[in-house]
Amino acid sequence: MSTYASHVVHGPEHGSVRDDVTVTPDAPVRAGARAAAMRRQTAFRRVVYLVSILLMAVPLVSLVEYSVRFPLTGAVNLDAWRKIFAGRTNEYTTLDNLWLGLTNSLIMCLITVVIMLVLLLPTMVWVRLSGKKFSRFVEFVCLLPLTIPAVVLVVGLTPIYRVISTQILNSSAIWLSFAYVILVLPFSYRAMDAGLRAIDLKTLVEAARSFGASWLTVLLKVIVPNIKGALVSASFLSCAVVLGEFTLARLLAKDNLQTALFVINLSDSQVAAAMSFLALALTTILLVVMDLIMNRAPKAPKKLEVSKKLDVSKKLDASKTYRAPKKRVKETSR
Amino acid sequence: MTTVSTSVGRADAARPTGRGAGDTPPAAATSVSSRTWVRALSRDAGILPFFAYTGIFLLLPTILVIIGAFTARDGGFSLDGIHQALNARTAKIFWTTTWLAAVTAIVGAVVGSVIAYALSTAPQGSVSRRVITAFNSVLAQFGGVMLAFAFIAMLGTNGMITRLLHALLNVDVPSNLLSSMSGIVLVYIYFQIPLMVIVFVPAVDGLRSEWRETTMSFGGTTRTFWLSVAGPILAPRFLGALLLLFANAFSAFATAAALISQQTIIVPMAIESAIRNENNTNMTAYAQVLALGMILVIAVIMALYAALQRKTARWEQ
Amino acid sequence: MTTLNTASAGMASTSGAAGSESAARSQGASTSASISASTSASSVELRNITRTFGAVTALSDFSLTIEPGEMVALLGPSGCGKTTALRALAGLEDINAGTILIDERDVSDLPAYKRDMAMVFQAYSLMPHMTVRQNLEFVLKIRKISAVERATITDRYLDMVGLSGHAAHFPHQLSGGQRQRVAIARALAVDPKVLLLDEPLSALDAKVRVQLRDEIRALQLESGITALFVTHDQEEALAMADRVAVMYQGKIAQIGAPQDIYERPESEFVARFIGQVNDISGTVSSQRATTAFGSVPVLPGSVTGAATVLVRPENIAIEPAGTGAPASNVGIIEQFNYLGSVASVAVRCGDVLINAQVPARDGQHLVLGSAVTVALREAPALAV
Repeated sequence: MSTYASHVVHGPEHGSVRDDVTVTPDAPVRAGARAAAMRRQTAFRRVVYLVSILLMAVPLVSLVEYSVRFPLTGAVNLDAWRKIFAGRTNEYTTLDNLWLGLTNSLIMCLITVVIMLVLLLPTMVWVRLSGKKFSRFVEFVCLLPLTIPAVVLVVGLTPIYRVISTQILNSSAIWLSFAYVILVLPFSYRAMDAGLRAIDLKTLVEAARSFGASWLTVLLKVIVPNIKGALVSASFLSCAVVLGEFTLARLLAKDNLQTALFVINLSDSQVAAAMSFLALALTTILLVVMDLIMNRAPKAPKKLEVSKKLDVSKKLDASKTYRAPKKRVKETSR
Repeated sequence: MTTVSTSVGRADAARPTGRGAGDTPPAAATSVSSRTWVRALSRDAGILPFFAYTGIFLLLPTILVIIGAFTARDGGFSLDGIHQALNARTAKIFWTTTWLAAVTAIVGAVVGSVIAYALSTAPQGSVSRRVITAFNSVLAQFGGVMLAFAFIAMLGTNGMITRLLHALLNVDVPSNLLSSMSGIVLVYIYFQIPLMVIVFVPAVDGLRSEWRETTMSFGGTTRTFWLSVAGPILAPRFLGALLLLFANAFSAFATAAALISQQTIIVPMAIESAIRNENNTNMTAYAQVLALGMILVIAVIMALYAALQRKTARWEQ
Repeated sequence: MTTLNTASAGMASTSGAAGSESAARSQGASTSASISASTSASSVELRNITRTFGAVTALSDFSLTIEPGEMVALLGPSGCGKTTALRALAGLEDINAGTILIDERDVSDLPAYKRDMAMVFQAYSLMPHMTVRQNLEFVLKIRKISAVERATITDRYLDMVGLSGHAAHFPHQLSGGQRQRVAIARALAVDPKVLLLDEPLSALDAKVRVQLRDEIRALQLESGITALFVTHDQEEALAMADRVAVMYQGKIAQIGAPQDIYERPESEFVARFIGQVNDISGTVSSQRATTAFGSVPVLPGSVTGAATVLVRPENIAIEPAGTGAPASNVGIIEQFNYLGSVASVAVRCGDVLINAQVPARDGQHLVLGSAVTVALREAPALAV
């Protein structure tokens, strides 16, 4: 059977189909008002892009320039960069604080992301499964940190952290992660909410449970694979928040990347500039990668191969009349 | 995962926790209702971990701040802290912070909305749009200290642009620009604009092409469209974004801290100096009162924002 | 050409009504310059329109004439250019070559807002921040109609679509069908030269679709307005339009009254696209095709010699086979689907599966698995 897509369109002489694509000689060519408007819009967009990129790039370029050009004398050298890439050595002990801060921040990234996932994901799944009862509460609490300034939070956290530092745990900076989890709640909630909304959670869970899967299996093997993008997004955003966090660390007198940058600026401002550039660039790359992962075009589904053609060519016996089978009513136990 | 299983599983799974240690009383009316009550609690137990965690690290600090503002040194209720704070200096600090937030919010909103409009004209998948959006995200939310350094590198005494302006246009950038108010305004605008872009692009994206085409097909010009359709639809969103920008600038600490030392011209910095002031423990109450003041300001802003959101949500078809 | 006569007859009988309506309007009108005092509808002509997007040709030398008061449907698969043609007429799309004429005036270079048309979209036609009443008064205000007039016209048209009680509601408070009704009322209220509809029913539920279909057609006939609408739903096109233009790859494959399109397709594409066909092999000579199931006249445009005859399911006659040696036109019923008013029967004859459609009551004596004779009714078919 030929499909119409591949078939040439026949037409009798009195039909209005013409096979030629050429424009008839007397059809006037048009200028296109819409195209002109589109061109104006594109030009406007390009100008705005250019100006924005310039504005965004200049501070970054200044940072790099500052890091290689000693401000007072104008001498250009790569000392600052050398110091950074030498890492934690005995030679440049002035940078010890910086490495401490960086290490703390990286560890805190990890701890914060882990706590955030373990706390938020089961809670959000549970809330979605058990009806609308707590969803407004969770949403409100998760968006609250956006409105409570960090400076305010830290005033109330001071006594709490005093207890944590002295009685429960030690005074290491990494326990700041507990508070950081609160700071990343808005971003993580939004990302995971979008991910959970996009899948039919109830059906997936019920299907898996009906096959006898345990809750852990359901969470790890059914839910997580389906919201991978949202989880990556939440994690990357949390990392970005932790890396850039300054207020809590400073007011609770702990060392993290940003406070270390602040201190190092007082002694070696070029290193501070170089490090700032790296941190900004890294965070941008983090977010761009996250965006690319999140918005990858979905792969085309594989074509299902039908291994055996259903055989409908067999002739049914003409002498027999076929009646629909009687439906057996199942006894159900409930 | 026990908490999750209790809720979605069968109701009778909750029963074991209903029976406490010890004897079980006969099925009288009171024990039935208490069993129901405990069962309901177990069903809702899934919220407990979240509730506990945010209770300790979010709710408790906030309560401590609010209560602390009204607590005297000996622990009783007192308005001393508030009296202490109600002086001209505090008022000036609050006023400065408000003014700073308002100015940077307005400039950020106007410039940011233009950029947001330009971004929305690009197809959503275009690479340049995504990179610019990602970078705006970084500048808006994670910048702080690094941004301050960048500005010092740019407009400081030996900054790149300072030297450029001097060499090319013979314009002298004041050497204390960045530690003055104008410098701070400049840096704040620098992260307010990206925040506006991030917040406002979804609003502009929400303008359906059909609305513009309908206006045109009925005889309306572009001007008609912007005055009667796009303007009224975007206005509440614009105002909402403006409020967010205000709250953002009002709460900002890192940038100012990195630029200004030994001065407390804005509220967050005043809070810091109060906390770090170990000599005068009275200052803890002062910090709490300042914090309470901030909470009040932000609460008012967010209430207005919520009201605006409700209004625009109605229009979602 | 019968349907065109009906259309003009319809127009003649409704022009009186349209005329009195216009007259009533101009009686109370002050500065209603945009409402034409004449009662005649407008003619539309699209001449040799070509539209390319880079390497893709959306419209290729596309020509269409719409008579005054006529409703024409553009029907075709996605990507055939029907929406492009509609938008080109509206002025929302540029054209690379060709001419657009309204009432014999060249409007090709006029921007959309000067073309005096009205468009109804598939969805999001209404302004979300305006009430129903404000939506109508907004477009009337653009036409510079006075406030008093605006109120009157709004009331009248809302009444016409039965939504007077919803005048103060916002679009999000209405159902999909109600929104489209408001959009249509709004389009008619400005008395445009041409009414344009871009898949107006595609976003609605099936039942609402059928109901609104009839309402739109009734409104169009009553107001006598020239209309062009785009759809991918055949039933819709056949039910609503005076003429249907079946499009394929930027060109019109066939244009004609619904009956002509359905019963007398001129090409294989149209025959297959509209309704269903069975492929039956046969031989064509002297205007008739001979097959194993009988012989039928062939439509103009058919080939001669060995060919495949395209027969519609309702033109297949099925009778239970009597006892006797199986003939070449006997088969076994392989599928029997009772659809309420009709029954769809699939008969296996040799290696061919014939799909027939019989009225349900005739299908009562047909049993799955039984032997039946298949015959072709005397209706012209296309042989390709």
